[in-house]
Amino acid sequence: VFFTVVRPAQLGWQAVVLVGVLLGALAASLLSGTFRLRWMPDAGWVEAFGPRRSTRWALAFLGAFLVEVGAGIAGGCTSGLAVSGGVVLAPGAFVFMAGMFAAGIPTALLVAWRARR
Amino acid sequence: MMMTIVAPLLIGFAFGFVLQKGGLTRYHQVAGVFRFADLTVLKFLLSALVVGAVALRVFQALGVAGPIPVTDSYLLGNLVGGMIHGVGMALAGFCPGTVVAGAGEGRLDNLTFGLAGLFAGALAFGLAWSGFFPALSRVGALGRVTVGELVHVSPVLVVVVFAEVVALVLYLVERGRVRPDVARAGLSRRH
Repeated sequence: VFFTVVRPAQLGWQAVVLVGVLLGALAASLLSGTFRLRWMPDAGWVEAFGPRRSTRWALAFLGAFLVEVGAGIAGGCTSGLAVSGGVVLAPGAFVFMAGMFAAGIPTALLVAWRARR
Repeated sequence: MMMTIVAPLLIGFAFGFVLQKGGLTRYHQVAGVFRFADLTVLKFLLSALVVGAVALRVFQALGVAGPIPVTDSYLLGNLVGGMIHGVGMALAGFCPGTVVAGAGEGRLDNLTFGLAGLFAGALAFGLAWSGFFPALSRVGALGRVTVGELVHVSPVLVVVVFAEVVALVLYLVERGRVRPDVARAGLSRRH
């Protein structure tokens, strides 16, 4: 129902924005000399989750899955709801940010606690 | 052509450029905000909010911008979605925009598993949509209102108070809380 009625599958302007985001970050990193092909985050990751690439890949997939599902339910993401809704002072944007930190803080503390053991 | 290709491409380009320059594409900076070990994301978010909120009102007062479309609020969905989003963001160190920007600066984990996760998440949400979303979005449904309309206060006053509060928070953050050594070291300071 969702893909046929609510939001028919098509490559709209949102997909073009994402292409722009990719190119913008590419240009910025090339200009500042920070572009580098890599499979792992630069800092903080190994201390928390170990050096295995497969762990990163699994959690990158899971994390992306969760942010996308969360954004779908909430009606937007950090930029699409928190910022876009926040600048027009929509109450939902602030509730979204509260939820983001209410769940993000314990998650991050759990990760840090694991890292210390 | 202009509105469907060029404008979104330019807006996306500018967004990706500043995300990369701001360091928002890095795991330890995004995950670190949830432990208040690195406040880059918080400062970026608050600055964007206050500049955007003031600019929109100023442009509107000058007659440059038309009526502002207000984002739909349905509080339970906003909250639950925000929580799921927060868990994913704290785990992977990116959100739907920065995973793409990270791919642009050469992060192959974002480009492969990150983007695959995004598509899988969108697919799962779409398939499950009719089962829960219509009911969920009716709880706390306020519609397209602003905070000012909700509490019957002038929007200009809300924007001014909001800007002052955020400016104060940013000032306090800048004066007392930011420790660049911690920001750089990320989680490693725990050892």
